[in-house]
Amino acid sequence: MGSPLFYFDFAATTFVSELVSLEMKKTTAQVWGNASGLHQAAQKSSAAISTARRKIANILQVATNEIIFTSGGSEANNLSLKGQVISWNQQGIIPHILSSKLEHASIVKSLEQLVALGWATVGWVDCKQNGTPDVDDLEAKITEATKLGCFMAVSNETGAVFPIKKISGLLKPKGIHLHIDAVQATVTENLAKLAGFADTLSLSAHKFYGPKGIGLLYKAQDVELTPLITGGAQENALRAGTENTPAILGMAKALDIAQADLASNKAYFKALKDPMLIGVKNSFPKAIVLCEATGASHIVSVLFCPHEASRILRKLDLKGFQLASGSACSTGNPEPSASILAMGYTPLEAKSLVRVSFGLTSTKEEIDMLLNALKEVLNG
Amino acid sequence: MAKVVIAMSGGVDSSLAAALLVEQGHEVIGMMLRLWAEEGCASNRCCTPESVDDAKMVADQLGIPFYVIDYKARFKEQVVDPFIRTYEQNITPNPCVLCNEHVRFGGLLEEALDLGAEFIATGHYAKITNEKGTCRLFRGLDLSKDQSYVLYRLKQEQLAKVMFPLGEYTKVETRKMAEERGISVADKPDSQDLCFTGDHDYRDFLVKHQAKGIKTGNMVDRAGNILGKHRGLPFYTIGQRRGLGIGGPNGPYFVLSLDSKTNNLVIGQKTERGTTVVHAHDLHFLSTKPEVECLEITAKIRYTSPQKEASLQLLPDNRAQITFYAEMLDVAPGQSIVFYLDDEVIGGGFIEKEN
Repeated sequence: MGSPLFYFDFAATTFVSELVSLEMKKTTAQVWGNASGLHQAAQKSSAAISTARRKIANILQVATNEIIFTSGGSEANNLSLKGQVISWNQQGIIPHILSSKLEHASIVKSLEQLVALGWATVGWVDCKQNGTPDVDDLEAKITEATKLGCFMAVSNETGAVFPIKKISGLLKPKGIHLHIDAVQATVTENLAKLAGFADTLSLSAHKFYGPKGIGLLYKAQDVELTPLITGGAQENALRAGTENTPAILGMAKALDIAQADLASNKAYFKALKDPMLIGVKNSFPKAIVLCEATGASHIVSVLFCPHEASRILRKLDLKGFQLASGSACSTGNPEPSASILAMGYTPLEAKSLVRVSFGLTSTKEEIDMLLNALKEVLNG
Repeated sequence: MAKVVIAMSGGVDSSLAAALLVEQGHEVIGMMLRLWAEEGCASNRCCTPESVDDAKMVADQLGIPFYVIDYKARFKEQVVDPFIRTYEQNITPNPCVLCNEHVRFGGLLEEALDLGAEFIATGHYAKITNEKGTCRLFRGLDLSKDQSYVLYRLKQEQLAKVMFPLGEYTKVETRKMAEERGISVADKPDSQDLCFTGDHDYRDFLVKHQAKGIKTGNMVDRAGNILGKHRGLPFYTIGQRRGLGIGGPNGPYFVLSLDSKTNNLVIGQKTERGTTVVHAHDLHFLSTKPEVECLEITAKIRYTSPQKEASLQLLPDNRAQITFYAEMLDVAPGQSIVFYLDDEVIGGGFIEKEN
């Protein structure tokens, strides 16, 4: 392999930042007690977790008892959906849920599972070609049985920023809960603002320079939730299991940094995205840039039809450029991305999706090199 | 030094082959093709999640990139569908031969060339020589692991771009060399079972995929005496003894042939199983077609059978008659017959039904 590596897959995962890494190292060595115990080692852990929880609650501007630590975004999404549905089922309600095929697999598959079990019904909201759900269709699909809407803040595949405020405006007056999958939003969106629209909201630390295997679900106090993992009374008896103290502290640190640097990060990503877009348009006039108007600044998604994305990606990888075709959760799946199809593109077009996602270590020089490599691969 | 794509299975053979190529200084890229498998069964046996993990570990150890490429659709179309169609004609198919021709070598080579590679390599125990642009295929050194039978349909242009790094080694040596290099992958059994039907028998598979024309009929002896009923010809294999439900004083019966015209299953005694004359069609010769009409060769009628002496006579329409010097048991139409001159594979064809 030998040649230098250029990483453009920050939407899949980020590295752990140095400050976070230091925090975790310190915690691993010094704060290892089981937080549920009564002795001093336990107290030390318990206090450290409480401090982290308070820090996170402050960032989201929510109460500390509204934060449930989970193993990551997928678990948080599952917990919100299934946890709420089971609670409704216990009251004899089969809830109707609104969502879209643009959502992450952990939402779509959970919903499909709930429908198959007969525990819920789902209305799939139409999608627009700009990568966002059609709000008019959303409104039209609301029924008396609608209890929940599930939408992401930023698409992991296209970077499209969803009109969460509008969606919330339609659901809230009718008493319909809104779950926001904010996993991809942390580096560019104000989470306190998003949490203000949400009844539940999920985050995952490894998308914002924190460790893998840790995430959280924000759950507003009045939302009833049945735990999926039962056992001890950790996390307000909503998620059993000894707390992953170093990861929780690492996540709190990472979230703090990410949200404090929001404005400067957005500007930085934009300074990378603009030349990338210009370069793509100049060099590949037939390429289709997705969600140009709606896209978050750290993601550029392009259809290079008729070139097959997997072939492009392998060739780029051999040159040292590491990119993805949409969601990492569906890599190796030959089927075209359901969300790109939902946006109205053909299967052939969907299979040509190349996603470039920037991070804090990306540079303008790297973008230039990537554009050159793309030219060699596609035109060479 | 060349840019080489190695087909990695996660097993010890392809892993060592990859290691040897790296040591020889080639620029090596690992690859695995993801093949189609029956719905409901976890994966094709040739590319299970465990094999993918093993191959990834080895690639990482060797410091080479490794890619899994989706070939489900192509495998289904070029191997599985013909498999069903062949059974419908009451002929025993040879899916591994087709897979090697179209997918394992055909597809892999296409992907390799796409990545700018000059060669593909596999962990097969076989040898290729290239003299003045003509490639010849030989059995590997280790006859117990000889896989040349499934390679006889490779084309010159494919052979010219194939490397078999293990051709000069025995399986024992391979294992030892892998151990010396700290390649700690499991030695997977070299199974010739179907890779795509999961735990299902091929008969269940045919039923599920609605193979056409399967109907019950009579079991008869060579003289035409009706001895019982059968469940449908594709459910029986030449030489099959179990499951016929017929015993009696004459000893066990064996399936001798599947008669499509009458839908009769012809069965008989052990002494009736042999034949010396076999016809083959759709011949393929690796380098050049023999110029003489008659050639003394050795031939294999199935993957696991030994090479037996025979004379090969070429017939019009790309057919041949192969006359063995000793009786061959249970010759199955549809299976490949492969021709050898000493340890060189010269070609082969598909065994025809005798009328």
